[in-house]
Amino acid sequence: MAKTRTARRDLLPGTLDMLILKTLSRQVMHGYGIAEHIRQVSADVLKVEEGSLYPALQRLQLQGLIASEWGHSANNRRARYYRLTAAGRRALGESESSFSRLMEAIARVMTPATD
Amino acid sequence: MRRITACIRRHRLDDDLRAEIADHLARRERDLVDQGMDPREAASEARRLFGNAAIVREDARELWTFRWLESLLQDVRFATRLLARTPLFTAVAVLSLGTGICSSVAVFTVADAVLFRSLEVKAPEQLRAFRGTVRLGGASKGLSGVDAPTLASLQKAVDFADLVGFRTASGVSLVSAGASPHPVRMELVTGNYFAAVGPRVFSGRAIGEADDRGSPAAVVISERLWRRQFGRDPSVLGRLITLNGEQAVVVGIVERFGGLVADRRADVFAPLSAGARIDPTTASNPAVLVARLSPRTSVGAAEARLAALLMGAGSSLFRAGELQVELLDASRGISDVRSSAERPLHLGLALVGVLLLIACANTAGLLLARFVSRQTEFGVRAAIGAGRARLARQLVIEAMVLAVVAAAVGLAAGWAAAPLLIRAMPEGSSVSGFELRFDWRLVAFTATVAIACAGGAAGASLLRLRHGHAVLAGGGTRSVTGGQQRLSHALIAAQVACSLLLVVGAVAMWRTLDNLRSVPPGFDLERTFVVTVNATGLLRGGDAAAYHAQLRHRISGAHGVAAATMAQLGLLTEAATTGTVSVAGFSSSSDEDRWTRMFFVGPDYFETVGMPIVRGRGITAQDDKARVAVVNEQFARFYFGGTDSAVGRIVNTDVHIIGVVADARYSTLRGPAPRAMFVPYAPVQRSQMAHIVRAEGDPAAAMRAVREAVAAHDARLRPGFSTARQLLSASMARERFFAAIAGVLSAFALLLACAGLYAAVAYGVSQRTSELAVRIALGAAPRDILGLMLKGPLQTTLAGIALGAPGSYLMLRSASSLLFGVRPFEPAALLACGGALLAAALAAAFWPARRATLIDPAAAFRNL
Repeated sequence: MAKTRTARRDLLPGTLDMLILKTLSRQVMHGYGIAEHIRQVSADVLKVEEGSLYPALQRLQLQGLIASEWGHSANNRRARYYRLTAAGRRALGESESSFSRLMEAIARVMTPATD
Repeated sequence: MRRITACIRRHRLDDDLRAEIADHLARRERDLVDQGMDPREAASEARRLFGNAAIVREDARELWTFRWLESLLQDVRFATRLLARTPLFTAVAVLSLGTGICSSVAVFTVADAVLFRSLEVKAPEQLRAFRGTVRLGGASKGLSGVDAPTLASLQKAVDFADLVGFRTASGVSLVSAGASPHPVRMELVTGNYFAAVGPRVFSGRAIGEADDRGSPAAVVISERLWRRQFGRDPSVLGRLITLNGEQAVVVGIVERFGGLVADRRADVFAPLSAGARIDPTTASNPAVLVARLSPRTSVGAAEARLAALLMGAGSSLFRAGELQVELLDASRGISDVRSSAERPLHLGLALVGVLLLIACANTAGLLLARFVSRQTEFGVRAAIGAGRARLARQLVIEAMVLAVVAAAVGLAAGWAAAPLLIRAMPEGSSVSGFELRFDWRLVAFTATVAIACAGGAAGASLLRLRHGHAVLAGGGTRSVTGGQQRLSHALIAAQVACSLLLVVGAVAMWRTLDNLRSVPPGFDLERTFVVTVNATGLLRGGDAAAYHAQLRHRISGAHGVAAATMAQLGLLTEAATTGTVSVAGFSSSSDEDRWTRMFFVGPDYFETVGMPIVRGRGITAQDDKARVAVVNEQFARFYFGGTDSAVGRIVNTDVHIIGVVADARYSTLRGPAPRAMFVPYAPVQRSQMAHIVRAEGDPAAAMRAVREAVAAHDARLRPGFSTARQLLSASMARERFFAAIAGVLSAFALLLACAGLYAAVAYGVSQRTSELAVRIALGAAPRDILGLMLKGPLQTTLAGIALGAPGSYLMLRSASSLLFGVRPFEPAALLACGGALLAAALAAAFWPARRATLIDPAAAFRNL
């Protein structure tokens, strides 16, 4: 059984995790909320297949970067809420800095040298 | 770590995720409806946006579990289901492997208890037991212990700080707080016993030097006694008990220790000084010496030092001749019977090893046959992507599941059978003193055996797996390839070979028994019985001869008694008294030529026992004080050239030979009768005598009357009763044991081999159905089909017999000391056994082969 499903995501692998962590750094959310937030804030550009969110959430949980608990949403529905842990916050910081370094590098390559 | 927790809770996590996904879809659906979509479309749109929920759950699941674990459990479940679906096959396989394991476990348990297990003390390998021999001239006297003064002086010697002495007393009556008397076995020990030997005292304290002179005597009891007699009552410490009427106080409880005598557990340990009060009959027995050597001391040096000490400070007994001291290994406890049980147990281990091999081969054959019939299944699984390793793992796990079940069955049955085995052993009553224990080594042994069997069984199938991969391409094979046949036949041949070994062994033992039974013992078997009377310690210096004379008088007056006599030994005893004889005019260079068996007999001995006098007369009451003797024919022939010239001759300077008696067997039925000399008993003053009684009719009635007579003579006596027939049986106990064991094992082996053969032929028929159908359609007669199907088994069995024949010769050669009248190489016997095996094999193969002749070609072709 093949484990890589890079074809299904339009993102670089690992970025999904970073997006989730960043989203949760603002507030505690449930899975649907995280998906909605990414969709809205990226103005629909980042088409995250919603299902792929959940294995990512499980993985982050096993790594100890986020924690979850069941609670009740606004209209009294049972939902699972995720929050960032201290380790997660640290990991987010590291991801952000390495991501921006990556972006700078790409930009330098793409931008022709100015005279 | 989190991963492991997740693995354990994975079902819960799966449920949670499912709920979460459902919630997500519901929210998406609601949002879409709010945005104006049609509710039905919203549902499917929500799912489309979400993606494949099943794959999402699979991906998450992979994070939670160890995949190999999941698939392993899956394999186990599948294997169990498969085995449950074919109950007959499973039953046969489990039974055959279980039989092998059960026998191994039973014999191993007994062997462990008797031969292998060390004492549970600190550093048991440092313990050594004293054995001395004093040689003077041609005679040697064995010393098993030292007397009290010698022990005292030895203990004072500084060389041996860790020298302990002890005596045993059995049948001591223990009374505690109103309970009824309970006989226990005691070890009376020196003060340094517990410190030196080091058993674990888990409650209270051990006896020490200070307790040597205490009153009431301080005693330590065993945990076993505490459990059985006192019900684990914690208040037993400090409680007063009486031992044979003497007061004693319990000061400690010792765990997993029954004294230094391995074949008889002691439950009470008391100071040596208290021994004289508690059990006067053993007070004058020598004390056994055991030393703990430091790792730096060599055994030889210790022996030399001890010998020097004994010669210097010991009693005159040690200076009577040349003293040789041995310090024997005591790490497994001291046992006199162990050496006689060694041979039977080693042989038993070898035999069950053979049976285990047969069981393994059988299981392997069964699994192989079943694998052959599952070719299609494996072909399909290979086609849809199972790797070879995966299929191999499946086979191994199936074999393992089978082995685990068989091991559990075998372990339980073997553990239950072990006590039965020990009871059946030749020196049965004494060997039963060894304590059987269920410990981890037994489980480890069973596990190893089971895994090895499973591995072997699976290996056979794996070999076929390597070659059978292109199965589907062959259109689902219906014919058995040559390679598969060869392996299956090899397994069966191996089983037949091993079965031949066991059958030949069993037949040899039965013939031995038969030969032994036909040896005339030389005395009356029907109406004679022996009463052993031990008055040691009861006479207190009185006249032993008069004591026994009075007893004999009483016995002869008892109801149903035709005649009574006595001797220092009973009939067919292992013990023997040997003396040297000097005959005027006979000289020889070898010491052995001067030895003869000695019997100290009462009046009318020969008439009572049934040994006919051939020359002269027997010993009568008037010969009490005379220096006379009766010799047996062997004696007369050896020293005087014949029975005619024996009467009237003088031996040992002043002993007149007054008669010659016919030869008899005195210890064993094997071999010729030894030389024997019978003299009057009175001058010898032995407190232990065997009273031999001939009953008028049925011995049983007379025995009751004699028992009463003995009790009337002295109520303290505890006589032993055996009829001549029982003694004869007992002398053949070892051979009977082996005949029984070999018989049982060979029956098992034969059964297994036949079952294996039956299965193999049956599978062969089912595989070759189409071929046979064609042959029948083309006109083959039933006789031809039968011949075709039986040819293979016949060849295999013959090959197995040929393989096993040299093995059986070697086996008989190595067990030749057990055989009697049976030579290792006897073509007739071998042929007979081989023939019997062949007949059994053909019978087993006949039934499935017969079914082959009944195949209806039309039906067979329809099912193709």
